[in-house]
This record gives sequence, structure tokens and C-alpha cells, in this order.
Amino acid sequence: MLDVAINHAVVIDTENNVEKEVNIGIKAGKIAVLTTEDLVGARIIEAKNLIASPGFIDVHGHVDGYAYSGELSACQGITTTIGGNCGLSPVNIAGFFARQAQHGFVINQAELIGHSFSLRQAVGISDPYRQATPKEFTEMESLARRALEAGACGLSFGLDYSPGASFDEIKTLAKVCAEFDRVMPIHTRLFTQNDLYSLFEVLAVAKRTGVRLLISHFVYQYGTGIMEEALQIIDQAIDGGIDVKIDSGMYTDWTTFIGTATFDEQTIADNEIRFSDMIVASGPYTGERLNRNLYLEMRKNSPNESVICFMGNKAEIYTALKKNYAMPSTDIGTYKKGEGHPQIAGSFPKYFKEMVKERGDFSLVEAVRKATLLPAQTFGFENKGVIKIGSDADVTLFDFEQLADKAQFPDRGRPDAKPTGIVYVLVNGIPVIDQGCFTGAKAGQVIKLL
Amino acid sequence: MKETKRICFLGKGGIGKSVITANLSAALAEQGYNVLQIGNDISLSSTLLLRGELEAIPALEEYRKKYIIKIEDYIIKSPLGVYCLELGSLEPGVGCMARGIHIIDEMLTSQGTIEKLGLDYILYDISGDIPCTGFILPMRDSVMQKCVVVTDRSVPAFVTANSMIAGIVRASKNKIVPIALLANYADVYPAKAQLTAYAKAIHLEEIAFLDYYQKIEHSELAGKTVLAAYPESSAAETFRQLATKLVEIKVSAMPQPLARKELSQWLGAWKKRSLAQKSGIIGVDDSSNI
Repeated sequence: MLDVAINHAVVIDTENNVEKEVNIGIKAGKIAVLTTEDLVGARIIEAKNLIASPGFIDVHGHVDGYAYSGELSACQGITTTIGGNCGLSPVNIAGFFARQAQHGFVINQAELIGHSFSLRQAVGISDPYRQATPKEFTEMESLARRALEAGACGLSFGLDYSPGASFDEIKTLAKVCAEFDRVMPIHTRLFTQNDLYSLFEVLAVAKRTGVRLLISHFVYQYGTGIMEEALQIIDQAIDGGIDVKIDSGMYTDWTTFIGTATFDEQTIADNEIRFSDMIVASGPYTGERLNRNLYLEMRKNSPNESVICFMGNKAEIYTALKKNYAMPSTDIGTYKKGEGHPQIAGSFPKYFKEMVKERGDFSLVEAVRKATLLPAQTFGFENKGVIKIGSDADVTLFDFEQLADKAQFPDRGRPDAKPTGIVYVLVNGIPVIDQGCFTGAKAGQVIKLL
Repeated sequence: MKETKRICFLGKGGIGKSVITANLSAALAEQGYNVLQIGNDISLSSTLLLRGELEAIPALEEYRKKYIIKIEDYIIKSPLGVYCLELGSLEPGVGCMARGIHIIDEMLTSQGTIEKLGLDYILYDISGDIPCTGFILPMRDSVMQKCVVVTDRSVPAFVTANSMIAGIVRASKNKIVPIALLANYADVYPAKAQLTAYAKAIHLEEIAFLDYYQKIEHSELAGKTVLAAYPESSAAETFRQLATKLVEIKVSAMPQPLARKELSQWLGAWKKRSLAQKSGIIGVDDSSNI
């Protein structure tokens, strides 16, 4: 007897880029049967009028084992999240995996080892503007190696958060990442809003080390009127044989911790950002617009609260995501209920709604491929991103007509308002969203690359 | 290991910055120093007088194509012994120069080029008229140890010089970055008097003058430095003295450049004096130019 039978859905075949009307049978967490015959199982899901997609894979998140972020991810149809981005991760990856496996988690988690906050801090660098010493290089290198041996899926950088990191520092760690043939997601560092050398420096690292690059939340980095030029640089690099991809969310307004170098007064002044363009995303001042006093107070007393910065050119989101090497992502952080940025709850539904339904930038099949198979191939998750016999039973069933984001910026509404149209989400064959409701099942597994 | 001093030359385009820098590089090389001159003008013209027919390949433009470059491959040794490097520029309208100079400077260090060539001085001839963040970044991040702001008595050059000084002062925060003002065509009445008064008003401690010499103009037209074309001339001697003066500049405090309102007042007063002069009146204040 099958554990789950899903009948009458339109299944997206991401490998062949087609839609198929087949029924899906699931057994022991794997896709066991694909047939046009009606199936019977311990649980039968009648999925007429629903699309069955491989579960979405979020290549840029900061879930890192935080339960509510897992829930918000699942509610968007995400079945696998990649944590530890922007250089912020657990340093002991083996320990992290062991804890997650022991306590269980709603969705699958792969984890990166992070440089810019975590490795730097671990070797005793507290000043983000300081270059690491050769001894610290070696220490970071050995910690990174240990994490990759423990199954971390790559090595992440948040260079904006460690402006002092030298080319050699990045290169040394990139070599280790390349040795393991893992992905290196980089949140690039822009010293001015139009600093395209931020791209050349990471491309130079890739050229020198052969590391595979993923440039993080590309719109947050280059969605300020220089998108076409930035994408040309990526196109040129790909033509030149560099393995580079990008990811992007559906917003131009980014958020990070108020205490980081990104919010240093100098950076704010350089980029002509006004306090009135910023909204507090977490903590007691959530939803309040910043002013100088609040800025100073938060920098001093609550550096780990998040602030959203409103900027950028919305059209450039679509320009970026239209590239065949671009993947949608959330940049989800860890927030209490009612706090955060709408990206934590709205990103994937918004991506399908705007780019497929409203704008027709690409077909539904292509949109699904970019959200599933492309990330799986990029990171080397062998049994994910596809619905075929033997693959992991991560399946998202959604009502395309109803699919919509509801999350709002915290000055206007709930940033964690759940989307509509995501009807079932199965993680390893277990429903974590059932008829639109979150079940709380801890169905996820840790993904160790070994 | 000896310390390599980096001096940058700034100022409005077209006032002779590259000619001056090239001649100073030549003068320093003549004094036995190992000098590298770096230009970042799109026309690759900063080092033209030094390298003559030798073709420069723009290093930053190549870097943007190849990602990995050996910086030494782009350095040309001129007949006078000055090392020349042209960075090239951005695609017009694309991005920001911001970190181009950092990237090159990091390569010069990490690839061992500075050590190999035994460089005593790196003279950066930086083109660009607007001291935006990107322009000022090399000063802010202490890539440069000294700045020479070149101007003449024309209003646009003077306004640009004041803005550049303001940019450097702002970027230097609490550090002291020695700045010298170099007045080109200082013999044109009443440049010397005006710029001396300006330097005094903003508490700028170092000011140097370079008069017009026909030999400089002729050597430039001949594609050479005056030190190569007319080594015995008084113009060449002037550059030798200037080179010694400028590499030794030390100041005790940062200047306080004019704010917009003061700047307007200065310009107004200058115009009045120029009008008086054109009408045949020479003020006592301007007597230093006579």
C-alpha cells in the first residue's frame, strides 16, 4: 500500500520541461509510482485543478533551525532551505546537523559554513574593517575544511559585513570550497551604490580557484539602476567559462541587522540613504520609521534588531530573474511572529503570481524549474527538484489561480501573513501543509553533502 | 623593506596635471628614485610624455575582461627610467571607479611588484572632476599618503580644487593627510596672489607655484617631458626643485576648505579684481604677481 496517493494533479516535469497529467504514488518518503491510473494509498489527496511541483528549494535563507522560519518557508511551498548564508552560520556544522536530526525540523535543511561573521569571529576578528592575518587565514581554512567534511553544502560570504576581508582572505577560503567542489554563495561588497568592481573581485576569485559561485540576492546588490550592466558582466563571465549563478528575491528593499557595517553612518552617507527610507523590522520599534535618534538608540542598544531599507528599482527584479541562471530566493531571517520583512512569507508565491500569471515573463514550467531543479543541480541535491520514480517525495501542490502573497511591510501590515493558494506541501512524503493548514509535522531531514 | 610613498595628483581636467606629474616623475627618477606613475584617464594619456611610442595596455580594462592579470605585464619602463602604468577607465556611464585603484594597489603589493621594482614613489595621476565617494575612496582608505591638488586661477579649476580638498578633509576624518596646492600658470596675473590668499584663508600649509614655460609647452607638443627634451632648461630645473619639495610635504593640520557661501563671495571678489585689472588698475594686494 502506498503511503500517499496524489490523483489528478497537473505534474510539472522539470527535466523535460512539460506538464503531465499523472498520478503520484509515494512510499517511504520517495516517489514510488507515476501513472495515469487512479491510485489508492493510506492517504489519498484529490488534487484536481492543482499543480504538482517538486518542492521549492530556497537557495538563500537564514532559517538555521529556527522553527517559525521553517513554518513560514513551508507555507510558501519550500521543502528545502539552504541556511548559513551571507557569512553567518553555525561554525560547528556537525553539531548543528546532529541537533537538527535529533530534534527534527519541518523542512529539509542544507547548511553553508559562513565566513564574514562566523569564521572571522571564531578566529577572534571583531573589527569588520580589519584584514585577517596569515595565521587567522590558516585557522579559518581549517574550520571551513572541517565544516565541509561534515557535509556543509558550501561556503558563504557576506562581504558587506566584513569590508576588511582582503582578496587573499577570500581566495584562500575559496580554494578550500573548490577542493570540495561545493558552491560559494557571495553577498558582494559594494563600496558605493554603483560599484561594479564588487563583481569583478569575486569573478577573479572564481577564475583563480575554479570555485562555483552563486551571487546572493542579486537585486539587493545591483537593483539600483545598474542591473543591465551587472548582468552583462555575469553573461560575459559565463561565456568565459566561469561557473556563476545568481539568486534574487521579489523585493528591492533589503533588510539586515542595524549593528552591521552596512548601517555604518559612512555607508549611509555614501549611498545617500535617508533615515526616513528605513523601517524597523523587529523588536519593540517594529513598524516605526527611523529617525536619527532612533537610529543611534538602536545602534547602541539593539544592534541585532533588523531594519528595512527602502530603495531600488522594481523592474530590475524581473530583469534579473528572467536570466536562465537566476533562481528565486527569500533571504528569510529569524523573526518573532508579527515581525520581519514580507520576503519571509511572500517570496515564492509572489514570484509565480507576478512573473508567470501577471507578466508572463516565462512559462509556469520554467518558473518551477528555476525554483526546484536548477537549485538542486547547482548544489548537487541528487534526488530533489524533480518528480520521478525514486526521487525524494518533496511535493508542493498549489492552486495557480489562487496563488498570491499576502505579507506586507511592517509599517503597513503583517510581514508574516501567509500566502494563499499553497494547498499541500509534502516533505519526504509527509504533509506539512494539509489543505492549506500547517501541520507542524517534523518531516524534514538534514542534507549532508559527503 | 623600504617604505613606498604614494602621492596622488588631483585637479580639474585640462589644467596640465598629467604634464606636471610626468615631469615630476622624471625629476624623481633622475634623482635616483624608482618611480611608478599610474594614470586612469580613458585616453591613456597620463604617461604619454614618459613612454612616447611605447603602447600602454589599460590594466583595469584587461582585468575586467580576464579577471586575472599579472600587473607587471602592464608596466612599461620609460627611456628615462620611470615605470608607467595606465589603468584605463570605465565604460562611459557604467558603474563607479571606486575600487579600481584599490584593486590595482592590492595587486602591486600581493604580486610582489612593488618589492621587485624597488619602488620609492608611486605617483597616481587621477582624472575626474567630481569628488564623489568613489573618487575619494582611495584617500579615505589610506591608499594614498599625500595629495597634490593642481589648479590654476580659472574659476572652474579653483572650484574643483576646493571641492577636492573638501572631499579629502571629510574622508580623512581624524587623520592628517598632507595636502599641497600646486598652482599652474602661476605667473598669470593675479594667480599667485589669489591662490596664496586662498591657501591662507583655508589654513592650507603647503602651496607651490609653477610658472608658464614655453619649454614645457614645446616639450609636451614633442611628446616628451621637459627633463628629456631640455634637461638644461630652467623649466627642467624648476621640476627638479618642485619634486623635492612635494615629496617632502608635511603638515600639522588639515585645511578648512571654503563652504559654498564663502566660495561665492571669493569668486565675486575675484571677478571684481579681474575687471579692475582689465580696466588698467592693479591692486596692491596682487603685487606678488608683478
